[in-house]
Parts: sequence; C-alpha cells; structure tokens
Amino acid sequence: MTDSNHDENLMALLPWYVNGTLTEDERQAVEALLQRSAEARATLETLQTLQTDIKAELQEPVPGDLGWKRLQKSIHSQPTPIPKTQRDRPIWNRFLAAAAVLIIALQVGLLLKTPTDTTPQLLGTKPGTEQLQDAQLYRLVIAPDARWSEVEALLLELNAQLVDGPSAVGVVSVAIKAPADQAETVLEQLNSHPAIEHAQAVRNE
Amino acid sequence: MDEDKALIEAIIARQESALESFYRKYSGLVYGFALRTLKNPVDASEVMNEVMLEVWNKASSFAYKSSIKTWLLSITHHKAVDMVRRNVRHDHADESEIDLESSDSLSCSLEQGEISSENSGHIKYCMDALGMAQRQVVYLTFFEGCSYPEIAATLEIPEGTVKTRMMHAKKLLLACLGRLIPKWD
Repeated sequence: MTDSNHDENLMALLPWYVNGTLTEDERQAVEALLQRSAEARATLETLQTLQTDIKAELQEPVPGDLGWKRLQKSIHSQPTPIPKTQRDRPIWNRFLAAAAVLIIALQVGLLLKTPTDTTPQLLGTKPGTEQLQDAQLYRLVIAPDARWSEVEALLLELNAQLVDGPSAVGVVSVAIKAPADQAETVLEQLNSHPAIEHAQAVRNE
Repeated sequence: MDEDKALIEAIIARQESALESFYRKYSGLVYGFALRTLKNPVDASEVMNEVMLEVWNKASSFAYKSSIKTWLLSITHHKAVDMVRRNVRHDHADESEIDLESSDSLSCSLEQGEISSENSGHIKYCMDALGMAQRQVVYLTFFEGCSYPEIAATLEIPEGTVKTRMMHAKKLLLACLGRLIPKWD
C-alpha cells in the first residue's frame, strides 16, 4: 500500500475517530495522520462541528405514553401463541384431554346452565352494538404533550366508551351517552380540555 | 445478570411490565432511527410499534452475539425498508425503482428562503436531502455514536461500504450546508 492510499484509508476513519469508537491501533494511526496532515486536521474540525450540530438538532420527541398504549393494544389483539410443549404433544393426547374435560363438565352439570356474559368492557376494545345505541360518536385528536392518564380521567368523567384508537398520530374515537340537547356542551367540554387538541362530533353509522 | 438481560428474560416469560420498561428505555433509539430513515413521524411510529411487537414475540431469538442496541437497530432497519417498499407499492410505482443509495433531492436547487433566518433546521434539511442509505450511516455515526463495524452489522453491508457511504454523504452534506450557512462554506 502506498503512503497516499494509507492516508486516504485513515481519512475515511475520521468520523469514527470523532465519535470515539475506533480500536486503539486505529486511533493511534489516525492521531499520527493528524500530526502530519493539515487537511486531516481541518476535516476533523469540520466533523466535530457536524457531530455537535447533528446531536443538537436531530433530538426528536418520542411517542411516549401513546406509543406504549398502542403497543399494549397490539399485543392484546394478537392471537395467543400456543406454547411449544402443547404443539408437540401427540394428537391422541389432546383428544384424551378434551374427552376428560367433557366428562367432568357433564358430571358437574355445567351444560345445564346457560352462561351469562358479565365480561366488563375493556378499554381499547370495541363496545357491543347495544352500548353504542343512543350514544354520540366523537373523534378526538390528543394533544402531543398530553399524558394518557389525563385522557383516561376525562373519558371516565364523561362516561365515554373508547371505540377505536389511539392511532399512531393520537386520534381516538369515543362514544358518549348524553341527552341530545347536551351534545354541544359535551363537545365544548372536550375541546376546552388541555389534553385534547381537537374534538369533533361524527355521525353514527 | 445485567439489566437488559433480565428484561429480555422477563419478556420471554411474557411479563408485560418488562416490555414496558424495555419500551421506555429503547423507544427513543428505535423511533429516532426510524424517523431519520423514513422522514415521516406517522410511518416511524408504525415501525416502532412493529419493532417492539417483534421484541415481544421473538425475544428468545436474541442470541447475545451483538448488543441489544445493534439488534434493535437492525430490526428497525428491516422494518423501515419494508415500510418504504409498501409505500412504493401503494403509490403504484415499480418496486425496482427503489434506490436507497441515491440522494433524494440534492440535485434540486436549494432555496435559501426555505430555511428559517435563524439557520435552525439546516442540518435536518440537508440530512433529509441525502439518500436513505447515506442518511442512515451519518445518523448512526454522529447521533447514535455507533462504530463502523456496528453499522455494518446493523445494515448487513460490508464495512468498506459503510466507509464509502460516509465519504459520499459527508461530501454532499457539506456542500449542502456550505450553500446555506456561512460557517460551513
């Protein structure tokens, strides 16, 4: 390798000299280059300024609570994976297990009783059709700096049902049961809340 | 056992609180890289959700051969490239047209007026004008402080390619900045 090729290779390492991630051998070789080359010293100075400016300017706010709520919704909405041990069990074993459960159920008379669904409505799941009857739908854009706990408190206060969302950009749809003459008041209350950037009533479909 | 290893073990055991701690610790890393790659906060949020979902579902596949940071950046890179491909398909363009190397708009003339008078936003503007592949290398080097072997592992490219991309990116970036800000000229 010629000296000029060697120096070019070392110049190519300067960005990682600046961020401090070179190996000890590489670092020493680059420092030797810096001692003998004015061009390398000028490039180093430029790259150091570039790094400072990039770090200062590319700092972005992260989705935070909204992103976490969305992730929770995603993990709850995906099908539960079957553990490997269950998947690998022989088919006759599963048949026997199912038969055993059926016998036990018959013995205790479970099949004689019609089950009643008392499952509470979970936040983030779609409410049943009956729950949306007589309710007004609203679409809310959550303020970027709002905490999800503030939104939750507001929804509880208004006895609102979450119909959809939050989306990646912080939009939720809610259903609120209120007398027709109070729809405007509810909308005003939503729009004046600091956690809500914008609220609008949407037509029920 | 270090903190990250304990978190991964707990995530494998399906402890949601561990995923939350992991999310709080690493969402900035994932979102920042996705945003710099895609230049779109909505797409970046989508990618971040997909990455964290993959961590939840496939944490057991992490073999501790690389750092968690490199592992996450690598997943983010793949998800972001998938997102670019989906968007291109959605726009009815020929998928073969995707060119991650080319600069997005540096060939266009840069209007001084597009940048605010305080010079704020000039770095972001010139970074966004780079091609995706070059932008990723610059971001990982100067913002995330990654070594060039780490970048090569993240993007699954040879180390020499990392250096070449950096060399071209640096040239374009300085040319762009030089046209906008006196101190870079």
